[in-house]
Amino acid sequence: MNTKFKTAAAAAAHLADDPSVEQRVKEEICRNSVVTTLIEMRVEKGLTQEQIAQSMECDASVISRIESGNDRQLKWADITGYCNALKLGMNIMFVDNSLPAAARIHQCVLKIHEDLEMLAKLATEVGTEDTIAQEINRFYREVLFNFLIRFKKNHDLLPATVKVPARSTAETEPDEKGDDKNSPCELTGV
Amino acid sequence: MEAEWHYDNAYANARKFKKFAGNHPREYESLFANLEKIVRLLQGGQKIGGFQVGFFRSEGEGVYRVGQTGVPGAKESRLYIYFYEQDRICYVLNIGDKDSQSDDINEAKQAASQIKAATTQKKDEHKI
Repeated sequence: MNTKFKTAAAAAAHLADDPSVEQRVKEEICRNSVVTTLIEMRVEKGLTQEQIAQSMECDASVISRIESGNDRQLKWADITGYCNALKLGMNIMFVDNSLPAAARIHQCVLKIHEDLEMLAKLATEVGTEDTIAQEINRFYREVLFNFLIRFKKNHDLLPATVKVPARSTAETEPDEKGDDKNSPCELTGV
Repeated sequence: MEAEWHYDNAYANARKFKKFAGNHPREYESLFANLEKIVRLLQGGQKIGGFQVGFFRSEGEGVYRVGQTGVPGAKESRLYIYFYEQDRICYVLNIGDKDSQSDDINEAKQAASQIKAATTQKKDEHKI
Protein backbone atom coordinates (compact mmCIF):
# COMPACT_ATOMS: atom_id res chain seq x y z
CA MET A 1 0.00 0.00 0.00
CA ASN A 2 1.27 3.46 -0.87
CA THR A 3 2.08 5.49 2.22
CA LYS A 4 3.85 8.40 0.51
CA PHE A 5 2.04 11.64 -0.30
CA LYS A 6 2.87 15.01 -1.78
CA THR A 7 0.56 17.03 0.44
CA ALA A 8 -0.43 17.00 4.10
CA ALA A 9 -4.08 16.94 2.96
CA ALA A 10 -3.57 13.68 1.07
CA ALA A 11 -1.67 12.14 4.00
CA ALA A 12 -4.48 13.20 6.36
CA ALA A 13 -7.16 11.65 4.14
CA HIS A 14 -5.22 8.40 3.91
CA LEU A 15 -4.85 8.12 7.70
CA ALA A 16 -8.48 9.08 8.33
CA ASP A 17 -9.54 6.54 5.72
CA ASP A 18 -11.85 9.22 4.37
CA PRO A 19 -11.19 10.86 0.96
CA SER A 20 -13.35 13.88 1.85
CA VAL A 21 -10.79 14.87 4.50
CA GLU A 22 -8.34 15.88 1.75
CA GLN A 23 -10.65 18.64 0.51
CA ARG A 24 -11.44 19.80 4.04
CA VAL A 25 -7.75 20.12 4.95
CA LYS A 26 -7.15 22.04 1.71
CA GLU A 27 -9.97 24.41 2.65
CA GLU A 28 -8.46 24.85 6.11
CA ILE A 29 -5.13 25.73 4.48
CA CYS A 30 -6.92 28.31 2.28
CA ARG A 31 -8.63 29.82 5.33
CA ASN A 32 -5.16 30.49 6.76
CA SER A 33 -3.39 31.77 3.69
CA VAL A 34 -2.81 35.34 4.95
CA VAL A 35 -1.62 34.19 8.39
CA THR A 36 0.63 31.59 6.73
CA THR A 37 2.14 34.25 4.47
CA LEU A 38 2.82 36.53 7.44
CA ILE A 39 4.60 33.70 9.31
CA GLU A 40 6.59 32.78 6.21
CA MET A 41 7.73 36.38 5.72
CA ARG A 42 8.73 36.73 9.37
CA VAL A 43 10.70 33.47 9.34
CA GLU A 44 12.32 34.37 6.03
CA LYS A 45 13.55 37.64 7.58
CA GLY A 46 14.88 35.71 10.57
CA LEU A 47 12.74 37.61 13.06
CA THR A 48 11.19 36.28 16.25
CA GLN A 49 7.69 36.92 17.53
CA GLU A 50 9.25 39.06 20.30
CA GLN A 51 10.98 41.30 17.75
CA ILE A 52 7.73 41.80 15.86
CA ALA A 53 5.97 42.56 19.15
CA GLN A 54 8.63 45.10 20.07
CA SER A 55 8.21 46.83 16.75
CA MET A 56 4.42 46.80 17.06
CA GLU A 57 4.69 47.97 20.66
CA CYS A 58 2.62 45.12 22.00
CA ASP A 59 3.07 41.94 24.00
CA ALA A 60 4.52 38.84 22.30
CA SER A 61 1.30 37.02 23.17
CA VAL A 62 -0.49 39.29 20.66
CA ILE A 63 1.79 38.05 17.88
CA SER A 64 1.27 34.49 19.06
CA ARG A 65 -2.51 35.09 18.88
CA ILE A 66 -2.26 36.53 15.36
CA GLU A 67 -0.18 33.59 14.15
CA SER A 68 -2.43 31.05 15.86
CA GLY A 69 -5.62 32.43 14.40
CA ASN A 70 -7.10 32.06 10.98
CA ASP A 71 -7.63 34.76 8.38
CA ARG A 72 -11.17 35.51 9.56
CA GLN A 73 -9.88 36.37 13.04
CA LEU A 74 -7.29 38.83 11.68
CA LYS A 75 -7.85 42.53 12.20
CA TRP A 76 -6.82 45.07 9.59
CA ALA A 77 -4.54 46.74 12.16
CA ASP A 78 -2.85 43.36 12.81
CA ILE A 79 -1.92 42.99 9.16
CA THR A 80 -0.68 46.55 8.66
CA GLY A 81 1.20 46.54 11.97
CA TYR A 82 2.81 43.18 11.22
CA CYS A 83 3.83 44.33 7.72
CA ASN A 84 5.29 47.56 9.12
CA ALA A 85 7.29 45.52 11.63
CA LEU A 86 8.64 43.47 8.74
CA LYS A 87 9.38 46.70 6.85
CA LEU A 88 7.15 45.56 4.03
CA GLY A 89 4.90 47.58 1.79
CA MET A 90 1.46 46.20 1.12
CA ASN A 91 -0.64 46.13 -2.04
CA ILE A 92 -4.22 45.05 -2.25
CA MET A 93 -5.27 43.57 -5.53
CA PHE A 94 -8.91 43.08 -6.37
CA VAL A 95 -9.41 40.31 -8.88
CA ASP A 96 -12.63 39.76 -10.76
CA ASN A 97 -12.95 35.99 -10.63
CA SER A 98 -15.81 36.07 -13.10
CA LEU A 99 -13.34 37.12 -15.79
CA PRO A 100 -11.77 34.33 -17.83
CA ALA A 101 -8.20 33.37 -16.86
CA ALA A 102 -6.85 34.95 -20.07
CA ALA A 103 -8.31 38.34 -19.12
CA ARG A 104 -6.89 38.11 -15.60
CA ILE A 105 -3.44 37.24 -16.97
CA HIS A 106 -3.78 40.20 -19.34
CA GLN A 107 -4.44 42.49 -16.35
CA CYS A 108 -1.35 41.18 -14.56
CA VAL A 109 0.82 41.59 -17.65
CA LEU A 110 -0.33 45.21 -17.98
CA LYS A 111 0.54 45.86 -14.33
CA ILE A 112 4.00 44.29 -14.76
CA HIS A 113 4.46 46.37 -17.92
CA GLU A 114 3.61 49.53 -15.95
CA ASP A 115 6.12 48.69 -13.20
CA LEU A 116 8.87 47.81 -15.68
CA GLU A 117 8.26 51.07 -17.49
CA MET A 118 8.61 52.91 -14.19
CA LEU A 119 11.95 51.17 -13.56
CA ALA A 120 13.17 51.95 -17.07
CA LYS A 121 12.30 55.60 -16.53
CA LEU A 122 14.24 55.60 -13.27
CA ALA A 123 17.26 53.98 -14.97
CA THR A 124 17.21 56.65 -17.68
CA GLU A 125 17.04 59.41 -15.10
CA VAL A 126 20.04 58.20 -13.09
CA GLY A 127 22.22 57.49 -16.14
CA THR A 128 23.84 54.29 -17.44
CA GLU A 129 26.90 54.43 -15.15
CA ASP A 130 24.89 54.54 -11.98
CA THR A 131 24.67 51.45 -9.76
CA ILE A 132 20.88 51.72 -9.65
CA ALA A 133 20.70 51.64 -13.45
CA GLN A 134 23.00 48.61 -13.55
CA GLU A 135 20.89 46.85 -10.94
CA ILE A 136 17.74 47.60 -12.92
CA ASN A 137 19.43 46.21 -16.01
CA ARG A 138 20.31 43.04 -14.14
CA PHE A 139 16.77 42.84 -12.79
CA TYR A 140 15.33 43.09 -16.31
CA ARG A 141 17.42 40.09 -17.37
CA GLU A 142 16.30 38.17 -14.28
CA VAL A 143 12.65 38.96 -14.97
CA LEU A 144 12.99 37.74 -18.54
CA PHE A 145 14.79 34.56 -17.44
CA ASN A 146 12.27 33.76 -14.69
CA PHE A 147 9.36 34.52 -16.98
CA LEU A 148 10.68 32.25 -19.71
CA ILE A 149 11.23 29.37 -17.28
CA ARG A 150 7.71 29.62 -15.91
CA PHE A 151 6.21 30.18 -19.33
CA LYS A 152 7.93 27.07 -20.67
CA LYS A 153 6.86 25.01 -17.64
CA ASN A 154 3.22 25.93 -18.21
CA HIS A 155 3.49 25.67 -21.95
CA ASP A 156 4.77 22.12 -21.59
CA LEU A 157 1.58 21.27 -19.73
CA LEU A 158 -0.55 22.20 -22.72
CA PRO A 159 -2.07 19.27 -24.57
CA ALA A 160 -0.88 18.40 -28.08
CA THR A 161 -1.60 21.29 -30.35
CA VAL A 162 -0.70 19.78 -33.73
CA LYS A 163 -1.38 16.21 -34.67
CA VAL A 164 0.00 14.65 -37.85
CA PRO A 165 -2.22 11.71 -38.81
CA ALA A 166 -0.69 8.31 -39.49
CA ARG A 167 -0.29 7.41 -43.18
CA SER A 168 -0.98 4.10 -44.81
CA THR A 169 1.83 1.46 -44.93
CA ALA A 170 2.58 2.20 -48.60
CA GLU A 171 3.11 5.86 -47.86
CA THR A 172 5.39 5.17 -44.92
CA GLU A 173 7.99 3.08 -46.79
CA PRO A 174 11.46 4.07 -45.60
CA ASP A 175 13.60 5.95 -48.10
CA GLU A 176 17.01 4.78 -49.33
CA LYS A 177 18.76 5.97 -46.21
CA GLY A 178 16.32 4.01 -44.11
CA ASP A 179 14.70 7.14 -42.72
CA ASP A 180 11.00 7.09 -42.32
CA LYS A 181 10.05 10.50 -43.63
CA ASN A 182 6.36 10.07 -42.99
CA SER A 183 6.39 8.41 -39.62
CA PRO A 184 3.34 9.28 -37.60
CA CYS A 185 4.16 11.85 -35.03
CA GLU A 186 2.53 14.03 -32.51
CA LEU A 187 3.87 17.47 -31.84
CA THR A 188 3.53 18.90 -28.42
CA GLY A 189 4.38 22.32 -27.16
CA VAL A 190 5.02 23.75 -30.62
CA MET B 1 16.54 22.89 -7.66
CA GLU B 2 16.15 20.92 -4.45
CA ALA B 3 13.81 17.95 -4.27
CA GLU B 4 10.39 18.55 -2.81
CA TRP B 5 9.45 17.41 0.66
CA HIS B 6 6.85 14.69 0.87
CA TYR B 7 4.91 12.91 3.58
CA ASP B 8 5.10 9.29 4.68
CA ASN B 9 2.48 7.54 6.82
CA ALA B 10 4.30 4.20 7.00
CA TYR B 11 5.03 4.50 10.75
CA ALA B 12 1.66 5.90 11.82
CA ASN B 13 -1.02 3.95 13.67
CA ALA B 14 -3.80 4.33 11.12
CA ARG B 15 -6.52 3.13 13.50
CA LYS B 16 -5.65 5.85 16.01
CA PHE B 17 -5.69 8.54 13.34
CA LYS B 18 -9.03 7.34 11.97
CA LYS B 19 -10.59 7.44 15.44
CA PHE B 20 -9.18 10.91 16.14
CA ALA B 21 -10.40 12.24 12.78
CA GLY B 22 -13.88 10.95 13.56
CA ASN B 23 -14.02 12.36 17.09
CA HIS B 24 -12.30 15.70 16.48
CA PRO B 25 -12.59 16.56 12.77
CA ARG B 26 -11.85 20.31 13.08
CA GLU B 27 -8.76 19.73 15.21
CA TYR B 28 -7.62 17.01 12.79
CA GLU B 29 -7.91 19.35 9.81
CA SER B 30 -6.14 22.16 11.66
CA LEU B 31 -3.24 19.89 12.67
CA PHE B 32 -2.56 18.81 9.10
CA ALA B 33 -3.03 22.35 7.77
CA ASN B 34 -0.40 23.52 10.27
CA LEU B 35 1.89 20.65 9.29
CA GLU B 36 1.67 21.84 5.70
CA LYS B 37 2.74 25.34 6.86
CA ILE B 38 5.85 23.92 8.52
CA VAL B 39 6.76 21.83 5.48
CA ARG B 40 6.30 24.90 3.28
CA LEU B 41 8.88 26.70 5.43
CA LEU B 42 11.28 23.78 4.99
CA GLN B 43 10.57 23.77 1.27
CA GLY B 44 11.47 27.46 1.25
CA GLY B 45 14.95 26.60 2.56
CA GLN B 46 14.47 26.96 6.33
CA LYS B 47 16.26 24.50 8.60
CA ILE B 48 14.40 22.49 11.23
CA GLY B 49 14.94 24.18 14.57
CA GLY B 50 16.09 27.33 12.84
CA PHE B 51 12.78 29.12 13.19
CA GLN B 52 10.22 29.83 15.87
CA VAL B 53 6.54 29.19 15.26
CA GLY B 54 4.09 28.97 18.15
CA PHE B 55 2.40 25.70 17.21
CA PHE B 56 5.62 23.83 16.42
CA ARG B 57 8.19 22.54 18.89
CA SER B 58 10.70 19.78 19.52
CA GLU B 59 9.89 16.89 21.83
CA GLY B 60 13.46 15.57 21.71
CA GLU B 61 15.11 12.65 19.89
CA GLY B 62 14.14 14.10 16.55
CA VAL B 63 10.42 14.10 17.26
CA TYR B 64 8.51 17.34 16.68
CA ARG B 65 4.98 18.23 17.51
CA VAL B 66 2.49 20.39 15.67
CA GLY B 67 -0.46 21.86 17.55
CA GLN B 68 -3.90 22.89 16.33
CA THR B 69 -4.76 26.58 15.95
CA GLY B 70 -7.73 28.74 15.05
CA VAL B 71 -10.38 26.28 16.21
CA PRO B 72 -12.65 27.92 18.80
CA GLY B 73 -13.24 25.67 21.83
CA ALA B 74 -10.83 23.11 20.46
CA LYS B 75 -9.53 20.11 22.32
CA GLU B 76 -5.80 20.70 22.70
CA SER B 77 -4.37 18.32 20.10
CA ARG B 78 -0.94 17.35 18.85
CA LEU B 79 0.46 15.73 15.77
CA TYR B 80 3.87 14.09 16.13
CA ILE B 81 6.30 13.95 13.28
CA TYR B 82 9.87 13.08 12.35
CA PHE B 83 11.80 14.79 9.55
CA TYR B 84 14.35 12.83 7.57
CA GLU B 85 16.14 15.76 6.01
CA GLN B 86 18.44 13.82 3.71
CA ASP B 87 15.57 12.39 1.66
CA ARG B 88 13.22 15.26 2.53
CA ILE B 89 10.60 13.02 4.07
CA CYS B 90 8.17 14.13 6.75
CA TYR B 91 7.10 10.99 8.65
CA VAL B 92 3.71 11.32 10.33
CA LEU B 93 4.02 9.31 13.54
CA ASN B 94 1.28 9.89 16.06
CA ILE B 95 -1.70 11.97 17.11
CA GLY B 96 -3.35 12.68 20.43
CA ASP B 97 -4.54 15.22 22.93
CA LYS B 98 -3.03 16.75 26.05
CA ASP B 99 -4.26 13.91 28.31
CA SER B 100 -2.37 11.22 26.42
CA GLN B 101 0.67 13.30 25.48
CA SER B 102 3.22 11.40 27.58
CA ASP B 103 2.31 8.04 25.99
CA ASP B 104 1.95 9.64 22.55
CA ILE B 105 5.44 11.15 22.75
CA ASN B 106 6.97 7.83 23.83
CA GLU B 107 5.26 6.00 20.98
CA ALA B 108 6.44 8.66 18.54
CA LYS B 109 10.01 8.38 19.85
CA GLN B 110 9.93 4.62 19.38
CA ALA B 111 8.74 5.05 15.81
CA ALA B 112 11.46 7.67 15.21
CA SER B 113 14.16 5.29 16.44
CA GLN B 114 12.83 2.61 14.05
CA ILE B 115 13.09 5.10 11.18
CA LYS B 116 16.63 6.05 12.23
CA ALA B 117 17.64 2.37 12.37
CA ALA B 118 16.06 1.68 8.97
CA THR B 119 17.74 4.66 7.33
CA THR B 120 21.14 3.81 8.87
CA GLN B 121 20.82 0.25 7.57
CA LYS B 122 19.91 1.60 4.14
CA LYS B 123 22.99 3.84 4.16
CA ASP B 124 25.24 0.90 5.19
CA GLU B 125 23.86 -1.24 2.37
CA HIS B 126 24.71 1.52 -0.09
CA LYS B 127 28.29 1.67 1.23
CA ILE B 128 28.72 -2.09 0.68
